[in-house]
Amino acid sequence: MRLYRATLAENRMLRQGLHLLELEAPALAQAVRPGQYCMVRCAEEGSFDPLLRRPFFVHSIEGERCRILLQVRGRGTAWLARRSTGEKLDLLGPLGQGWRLPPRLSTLLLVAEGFGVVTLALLAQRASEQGLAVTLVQEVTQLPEGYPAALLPEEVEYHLVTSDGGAGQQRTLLTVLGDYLSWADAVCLGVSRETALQLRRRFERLRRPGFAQVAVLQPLVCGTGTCLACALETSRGPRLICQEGPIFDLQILMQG
Amino acid sequence: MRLTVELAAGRKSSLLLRNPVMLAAGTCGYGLEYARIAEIERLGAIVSKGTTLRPRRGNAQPRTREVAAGLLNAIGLQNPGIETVIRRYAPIWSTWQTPVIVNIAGETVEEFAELAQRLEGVPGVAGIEVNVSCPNVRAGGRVFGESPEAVAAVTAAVRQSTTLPVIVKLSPNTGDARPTALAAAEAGADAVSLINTLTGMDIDLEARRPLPAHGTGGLSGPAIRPLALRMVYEVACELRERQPGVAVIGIGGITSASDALAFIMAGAVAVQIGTANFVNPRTGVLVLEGIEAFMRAHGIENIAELVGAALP
Ligand SMILES: Cc1cc2nc3c(=O)[nH]c(=O)nc-3n(C[C@H](O)[C@H](O)[C@H](O)COP(=O)(O)O)c2cc1C
Repeated sequence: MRLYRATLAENRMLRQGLHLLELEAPALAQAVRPGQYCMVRCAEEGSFDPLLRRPFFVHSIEGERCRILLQVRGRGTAWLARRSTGEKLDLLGPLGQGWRLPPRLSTLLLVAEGFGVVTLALLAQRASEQGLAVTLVQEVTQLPEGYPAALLPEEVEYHLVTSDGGAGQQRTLLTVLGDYLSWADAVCLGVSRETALQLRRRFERLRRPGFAQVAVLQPLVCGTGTCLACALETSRGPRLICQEGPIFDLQILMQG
Repeated sequence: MRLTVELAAGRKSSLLLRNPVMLAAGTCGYGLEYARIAEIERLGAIVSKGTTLRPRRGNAQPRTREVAAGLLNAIGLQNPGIETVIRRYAPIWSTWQTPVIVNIAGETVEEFAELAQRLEGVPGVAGIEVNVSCPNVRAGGRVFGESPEAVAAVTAAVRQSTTLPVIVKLSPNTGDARPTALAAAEAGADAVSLINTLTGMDIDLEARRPLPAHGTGGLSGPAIRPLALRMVYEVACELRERQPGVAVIGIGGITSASDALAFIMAGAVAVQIGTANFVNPRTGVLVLEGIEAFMRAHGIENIAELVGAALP
């Protein structure tokens, strides 16, 4: 964990409310592992409103640059989306524990619900660089919400499931995931806690030890295990999302 | 340039701070989380997370809510309990230059006394801060810190149980902290620290329920600074008049050296930084450097020249 002042090298708007920020951050690019995140200040230096940092996953890395996929959700993210090239951003990271993949793996299934895909992007990049066969299945409510597929490494298979029922019958993760699961050696879930629990109930395979992990997202305060705001009850006792997560074994996840 | 502050001067185990910058309870854990990044070894002291006799799991989620320039929190004193703190953290603290003050919280006067007894003679523990902002189970859940009699009872019990410096941390929720400050001073406190958080609330519009989930939360951060400053000023005036041996420590919304200097001029011998640690874990060091720069720029030799400089 370190504090960085990173130069914004590019701020590309992919569509309304969705930005790809590219930061000159060599030490972070070196240190960060998939599933780790950083806390970014979203106010002018010396200003304390909005007060708290916002958590962001590193989306992808190219050389010494880290990219962040930014969806505008409130005042902090809106401020960040307005930054222009050359400005300095204040980052704290890398934070948390990333995805822990079992050894000897050849196929990896990534499952996302909407914007939960940001938890998986760097993993997709790293896993395909290591020669794993990677498939990403993403469920969105409406088509334009899909992940800009151009951001994925070419080798990653990307399957989009739309749950608005518009194009024929309604398809959801619950109805399509069975086939993918029998193919995968391991599964990483970037879905809500409710969906993760539903999937675990529906598919026996997801209950196998060590097979599936899930990213648990919620607003964070400190990011360093200090404030204790993010305690999560698990079947193995309380865990801090910011420090011991945000990635957890699916097996220990409990009802919220 | 002289920045040192002596708390509990004349007591057997008085507490010498290298400088007046401390980190506040609940915002730096047990010091280990931030030890390196916050350069804790340069600070005057740190105050531990509020610690109870038995371990506590804390409140339901969500425990916090960000508001304009502030934070509402209802962590619920989640902590591993005093025995674990003594066993796990005190040995590490005893190797540090920077003194660690343990913040204690009890539900009865006897619990406060027992907490103080357990800390007596533990290497690595430099002082006790008494958090009287918890509900008094004997008095039907009324908060200790809101009654001068209860503050006096808790302070006296802790005083009798320890030779360590005793700081009593006051609640702002009475509107005027002078009566409780005076009660603590008369019952043997070496210092009072203020303010703890202000009870507040937000509403989740979708769920139509209060936030944090606990029902109310303590407001902290820059939003509370003017109120905290006014209370520190009033308490400093009062104690200077009636209990001049008792020091005041200023807390509430400090994010910069200017904020800290304002508290010092209002009569605080030292300050504590809370919520700002979450925004920038290095705030303490930045505040310290800013105080030094101010003193250099104004040709001030000793920080004591600034303490209370704005008092009438
Ligand atoms: C998340 C959080 C946890 C806190 N926990 C404690 C505690 O355990 N004991 C205590 O006396 N004060 C606690 N406080 C209060 C702070 O120590 C401080 O008095 C208050 O936040 C005002 O200062 P600030 O505006 O600089 O944060 C806590 C504050 C926050 C924000």
